[in-house]
Amino acid sequence: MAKTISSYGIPVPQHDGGAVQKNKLRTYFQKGSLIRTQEMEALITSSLNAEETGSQNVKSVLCFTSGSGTAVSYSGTDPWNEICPPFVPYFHPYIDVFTLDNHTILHSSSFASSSGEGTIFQFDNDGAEASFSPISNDTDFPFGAFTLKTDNNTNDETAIGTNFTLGPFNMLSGSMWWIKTRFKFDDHDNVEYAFGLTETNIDQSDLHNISAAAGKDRIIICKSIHNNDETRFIVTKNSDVFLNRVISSSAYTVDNQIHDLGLHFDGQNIHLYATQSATGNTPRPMEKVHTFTTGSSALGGLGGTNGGLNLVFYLRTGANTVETATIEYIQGAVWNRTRDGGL
Amino acid sequence: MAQVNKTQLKSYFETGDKPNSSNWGELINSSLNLEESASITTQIFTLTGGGDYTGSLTGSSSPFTHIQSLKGPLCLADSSSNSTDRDFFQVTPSFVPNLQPHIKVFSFDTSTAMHSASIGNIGTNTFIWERDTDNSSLLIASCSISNSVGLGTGKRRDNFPYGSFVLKTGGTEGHQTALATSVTPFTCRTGSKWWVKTRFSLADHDGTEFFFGLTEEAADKGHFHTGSYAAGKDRVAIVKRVHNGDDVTYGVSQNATPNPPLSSSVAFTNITQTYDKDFSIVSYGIFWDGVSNIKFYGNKVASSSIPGPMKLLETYSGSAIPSSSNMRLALMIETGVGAPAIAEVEYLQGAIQTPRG
Repeated sequence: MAKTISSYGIPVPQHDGGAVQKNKLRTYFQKGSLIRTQEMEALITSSLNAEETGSQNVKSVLCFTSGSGTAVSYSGTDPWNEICPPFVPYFHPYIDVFTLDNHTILHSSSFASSSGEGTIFQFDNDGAEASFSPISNDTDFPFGAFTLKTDNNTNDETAIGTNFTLGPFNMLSGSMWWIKTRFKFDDHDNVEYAFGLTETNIDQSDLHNISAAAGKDRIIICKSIHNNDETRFIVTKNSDVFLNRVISSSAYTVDNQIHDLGLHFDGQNIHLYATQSATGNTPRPMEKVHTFTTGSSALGGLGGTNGGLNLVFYLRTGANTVETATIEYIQGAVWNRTRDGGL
Repeated sequence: MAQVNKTQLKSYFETGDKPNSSNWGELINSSLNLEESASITTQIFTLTGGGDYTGSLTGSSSPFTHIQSLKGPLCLADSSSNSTDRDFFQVTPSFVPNLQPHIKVFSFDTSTAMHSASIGNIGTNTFIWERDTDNSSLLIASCSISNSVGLGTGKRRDNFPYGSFVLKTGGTEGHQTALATSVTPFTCRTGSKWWVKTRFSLADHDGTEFFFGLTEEAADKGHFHTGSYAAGKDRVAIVKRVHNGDDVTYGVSQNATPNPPLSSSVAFTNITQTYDKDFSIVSYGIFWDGVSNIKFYGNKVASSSIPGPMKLLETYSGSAIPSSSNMRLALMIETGVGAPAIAEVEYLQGAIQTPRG
């Protein structure tokens, strides 16, 4: 078929006006392009129409920074929510979602102990004082939260996380995941914690500081020493420590400081997002604070060949007192190519 | 190329304009593209200017997905054939927790509150939802109740085929019960919209009073729906004040001196509301626009009928708008006779556009 050339010398694309992606669509409207019925049809067919009453199929991951509007007392962008899908189960049929918040888990009876297998989320209930329960009258979390409490002896530990047998998060080629949390400690000088993904069971002793070894892969943000504010970003695979980096901007420096943490694996690299706010203040949108760029070839198989990483929030007391983390939410979403048949 | 809003886009395509490739590009970039997919791209990008992702993302088999991000609240209007009459849905986001990160959602319905054990007594503060348990009042999923509760099975089946909860008071005149959020995040704050809605029916309209909306008082406070306006008692509500009167009115108050004076609730201006037959199905919605208006919406149909879209009943913009109090979402009923009042509730929901990240 002979090429049709516009008066500006640009080839007129041959197409039927069907839906195309943005990169292709833009080529139809370059300087000198001949804009015909087909080009306008392609533009209209490719776009979501607000007045259409029939079903419309969105193929991409759809993210929402919406609702921000003028309400967000922050004039900048919202980098985390721009790359993160909604943590709504079944919203994207190819993305599995785990969400632990007061709106979806209404009562602590929804949890089993870490040895149980009957619930999606598990709780390490070792020690008489260890507890995990909803709370609705915390001024920093006006929409509800949970309290995670340790027992009252030095180095007592507890944790909440996805069921060990699930291990739904992985670093397999093509997979992507997002996890996030918001929390605070009322006694930061006596608290150690970790948030992230772990190959071990969630009641693994010394989960945040354990030596790198087979079966103990981790991708975590942690405060390793109770009387030290330092926060670290750690990635290990088998005996290799890929990353053990101090994130100075995420140090936990004062009681009741509200911390937001987000981790995103884009299929190649792991991005850490974070923000912190003083008690009583409005949390700001998370900003990207570090990217771990080793790449998927090194990360492949982290957690095991079939995945095997669990979402966890781990807490340890550094004193003979019950220590409390107040947590607004723990959420994770994973797009697993091995489940590309959809949910 | 940047993303721009609709007003800016329209300015590129007015009569006599010669749109250039940038104008077309911005139109394309600003629109949600249905064809962006995981299958043929090797690049992640966001459309909100949050940063470019470039570099080592190569290979035609790479499965990375395009990501598209929406900034504005997304309202999904109802898909009914009666689509020209949907005042409330046109301004209301989906009541889906975690869908839009800056909109917090409270949803009480049979899909999300799967068992009444998820509800604590008012003041417990270890639940999102609480109820007034005084006088052996009852909150129970309708599928669990027997006819002795006072509702015929036929009524339940016909009116709420997707499930419901039954709210039932004690059996003495003045007994009341309520379902409410234990958290109190609702405030008429500038720039922070909120929406609340419910749908229910009453078994005995001549013997029942109700309150739906926001209250600063605890939802187990005696007769709070008809109490005097005072500090600590702010409210935004739709109310049936008198058990043997059919009028359904609204009330807005901040502290003791609302303006205009609201010695009692006020009739709706656009469409007056009554509850005048047993088992009528009413749908109510209230919307704070984040600026200066509280809008009330409603719809009523006879028992066994299909509810219609809610219409705008009233826009209130007076100085009684409670702008500093912390209020809870509540649905309360009170019996005015010597028998229990019973409401069958399909849902009670709220959403807040929050300044929090």
